Amino acid sequence: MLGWIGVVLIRNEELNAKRQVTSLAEARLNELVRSIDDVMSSHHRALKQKMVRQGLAEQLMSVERTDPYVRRAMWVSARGQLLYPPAPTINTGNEFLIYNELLMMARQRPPVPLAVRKAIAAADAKSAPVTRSSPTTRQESKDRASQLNAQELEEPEAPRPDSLWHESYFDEGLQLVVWDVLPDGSATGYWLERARWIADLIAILPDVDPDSSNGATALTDANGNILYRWGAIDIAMEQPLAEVSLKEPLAAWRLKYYLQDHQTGSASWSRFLPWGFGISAVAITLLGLGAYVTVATMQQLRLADQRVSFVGQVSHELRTPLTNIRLYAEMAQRDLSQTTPAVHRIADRLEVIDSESKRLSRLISGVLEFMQGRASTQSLSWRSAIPDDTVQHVLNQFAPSLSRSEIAITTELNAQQRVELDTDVLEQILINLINNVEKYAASGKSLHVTSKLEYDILTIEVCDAGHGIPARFRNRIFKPFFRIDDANTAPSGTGLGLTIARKAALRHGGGLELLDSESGCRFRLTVRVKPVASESESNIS
Amino acid sequence: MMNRNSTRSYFALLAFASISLCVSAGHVVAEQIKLSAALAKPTMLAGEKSLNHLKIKLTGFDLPKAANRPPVNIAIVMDRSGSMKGEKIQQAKRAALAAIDRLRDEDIVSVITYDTNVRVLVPATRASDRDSIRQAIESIQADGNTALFAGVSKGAAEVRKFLDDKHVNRVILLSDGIANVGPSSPSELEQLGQSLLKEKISVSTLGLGSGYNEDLMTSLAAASSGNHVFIENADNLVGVFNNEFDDLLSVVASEFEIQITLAGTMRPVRCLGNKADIQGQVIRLPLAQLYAKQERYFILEVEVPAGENGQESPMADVRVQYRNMNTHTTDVLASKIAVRYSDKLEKVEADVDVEAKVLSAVQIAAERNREATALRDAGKIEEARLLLVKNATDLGSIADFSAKNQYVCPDVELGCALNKKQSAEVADNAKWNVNRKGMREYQDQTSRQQSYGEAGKRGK
Repeated sequence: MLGWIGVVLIRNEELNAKRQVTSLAEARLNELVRSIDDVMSSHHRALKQKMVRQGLAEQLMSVERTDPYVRRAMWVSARGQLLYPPAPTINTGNEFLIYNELLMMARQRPPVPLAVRKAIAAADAKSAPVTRSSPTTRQESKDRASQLNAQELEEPEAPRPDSLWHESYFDEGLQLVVWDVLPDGSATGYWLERARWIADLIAILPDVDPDSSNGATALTDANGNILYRWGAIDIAMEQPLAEVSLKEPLAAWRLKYYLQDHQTGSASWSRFLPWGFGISAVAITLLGLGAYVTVATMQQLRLADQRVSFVGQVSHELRTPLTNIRLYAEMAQRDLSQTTPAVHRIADRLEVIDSESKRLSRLISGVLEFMQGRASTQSLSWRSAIPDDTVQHVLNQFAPSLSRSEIAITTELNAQQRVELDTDVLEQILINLINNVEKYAASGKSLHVTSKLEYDILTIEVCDAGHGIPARFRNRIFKPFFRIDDANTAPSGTGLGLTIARKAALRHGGGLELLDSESGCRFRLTVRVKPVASESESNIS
Repeated sequence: MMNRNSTRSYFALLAFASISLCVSAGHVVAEQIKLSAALAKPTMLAGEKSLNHLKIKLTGFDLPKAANRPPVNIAIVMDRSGSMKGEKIQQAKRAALAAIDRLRDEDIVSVITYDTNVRVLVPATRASDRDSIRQAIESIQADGNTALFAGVSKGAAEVRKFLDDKHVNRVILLSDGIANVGPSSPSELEQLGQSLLKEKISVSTLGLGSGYNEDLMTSLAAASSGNHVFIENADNLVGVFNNEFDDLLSVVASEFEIQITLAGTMRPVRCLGNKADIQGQVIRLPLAQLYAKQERYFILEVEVPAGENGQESPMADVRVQYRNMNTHTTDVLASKIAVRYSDKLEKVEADVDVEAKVLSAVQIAAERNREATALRDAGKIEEARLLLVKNATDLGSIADFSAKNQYVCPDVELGCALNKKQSAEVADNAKWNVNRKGMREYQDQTSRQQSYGEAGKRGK
């Protein structure tokens, strides 16, 4: 009995100790959160003070040219028309793309005051042709109503009146805009230079950790990519001990504190806590249990977050090709209107439009397939093909971008026989796998693809020499939304690529798995194929 | 860098003498920047719409004596990632130490190193404390990943501590590695550079060895109006660092605002080699500073409407405002440009401005070289090769043209030779990594009229 009480006491003390270490770390992180918030608020104040009310176009242009925090300035009329900047007339870099984004941002400006909205509606009604002289007939009030509706259509979408910042996704991710509504209902906005405010956050964060030689802290964005880190230990595959969210507008960003791995963990906690105590085996077990529960809860929280950011992420991913398509179509039109249209340039533009449309439809079908879940066991479209041709075709598609990332492609292709399979499905899976190599394993500088055909099983292996995936994540990478918290990469993605690829492989009577490998990742794809139906040209040796 | 063309009397008719206004009194005899603006074709063929190139050239005055150079405020940001191990880090340290020796007591310096983490080794301080700065640099050792973005962020923050318009403010980034911790795309670095330029902080990037990401390093330097040099051999680093310092220590003018207002009928097409801000008829050109005796020009491509024989039309107003680092005044220069039309081809050709024509050709070749890089990146090797061959041929005939007119421009021969060499090697996959860096360097240095190659030194 006494022994039992002793054990309970020690257990409680251990849990308390752990809780205290975590809350100490959290308190420290929260201090940093406050200083980050100070920086962001002071940016907001400074820009609010720079808001101009007269000679708008001139003033905005000058702010844009001189203010290091302002990437672009905007002026939007009460009716939602972009008054500044003017539409670009030439495209030397990505002016059209940026103008498109400004239009998008203008749509998300704060709401126009009700009084102004009413005045506009009244003005519209007055200028509308009045067909009858009798006052307020039913017809006329109907007209008026429809005009009010039309007016509402031009209203800003989804306003967040309580927030200081307006958020948007463009380029590398989160973009911030500060708005000011003028008495006439028009609004001016400053789009902040993203790289600059991130650089400023980095500048105020510490470079060395004076308190701990075996801990590290990282600032991560909504996708878990590390933007900045300090401290002595390698955190690529660690679980953080403490984690806090930043404040608006960076609520999806986090500060994470890591402590050296769990074995030495308890030793390092005693550095935090001068009152060390003896640790019994039972206590360690319970401690482990506590840690497990904490980690599990944290993971669930993260999963929930990932699902939320998924919607934003997917719309971002869908918008990029769409914007490119619009942009290149516009450029092609412009090319055609020139006196001597350069045919090769137009052909190039059309090529981009074509490949971007394909990317878009791949993305959409991928997401749809995922959303529909098992409803997507649609029939395969079997056709006769040589598997290696499909592999080579995909590799050719990637060749320019892989060579840009200095990834050398080597192949051992031994599936030269003509068989029946769904080349679209095969292509989709391979694109997903090679895309991952390009995104996450470019540092390994190599891509090795092998293929073989044994009876009715086509096996393709895709190997890289990147950082690899630790054994404990081996199955989870196929789960939806799962993304490894990898310090060395900052690519965007939906977290659905491998989920979709595996489903597609299953649909084709095969599978997709991650194999053991000395370095990098080795994915094995198997697909069940059919012999060619009574085809004389099939040259089976 | 270039000898000016000799006598051309009609020149004065078109480009009115530069009017310089000294804003503050008491500096009437002070040295001024020289502005010269001219059209490649001052006389154009009547009756047809066509392109013309407007040259705007600025020349820095000579510094009276070394003691008068403005103080500098620099951050040396050094990559100490694992790949810098060995000779590279030793050379880098030697170069930084040589730089410290050249600073005067009133200069301000900070030293930042980065691997996976960033370390502010020497926070911004007066250079008078040389011994402890030297010690700190000597202690640097190489290891880990490359947090390039954070390194530059911290470096800029140190420069910002002593930011004022009396100093020449500069971050010098020395790296051999690609960025792989934190923001790592060329566009993010470019945006950071743009923002720093607005605060008058430039970033010079020195790329060591053939392992680094040239797009990232050139974007950062170009956007912030700094220099970019590609150093294949670590032995040359001290020399290059010294060149960078020569520039830094001889800035005679900064805070430029160059504005060209085109007449209503003219249409701006592009500014060759430079990212200009073109809004309607107003074009603003980027320039952070001008060194002693440095010549810096911009070429603006303009679509000129058709005119009648004998007609003369105003074309552009050029206005240049800058901070004179010698007198600490804000000075303004202005010039007006007009265009004439003739129906005689001989007249058009006789009137050609040799310098404007040659410099336009140099910049057009660099633009085409950029296109060739893009084509090669997209796997269109043969198209890239043909474009480079065309460049070499065009520059060859421009070389003949300048020889005939006794105009010396080493950029023409150099560009011709480089394009020839590149066209011969563009198909070679094994050499592409190094060649691509060479092409980027040629494009970048032509745009900013920096001398070519690591051994090259700007003529003073």
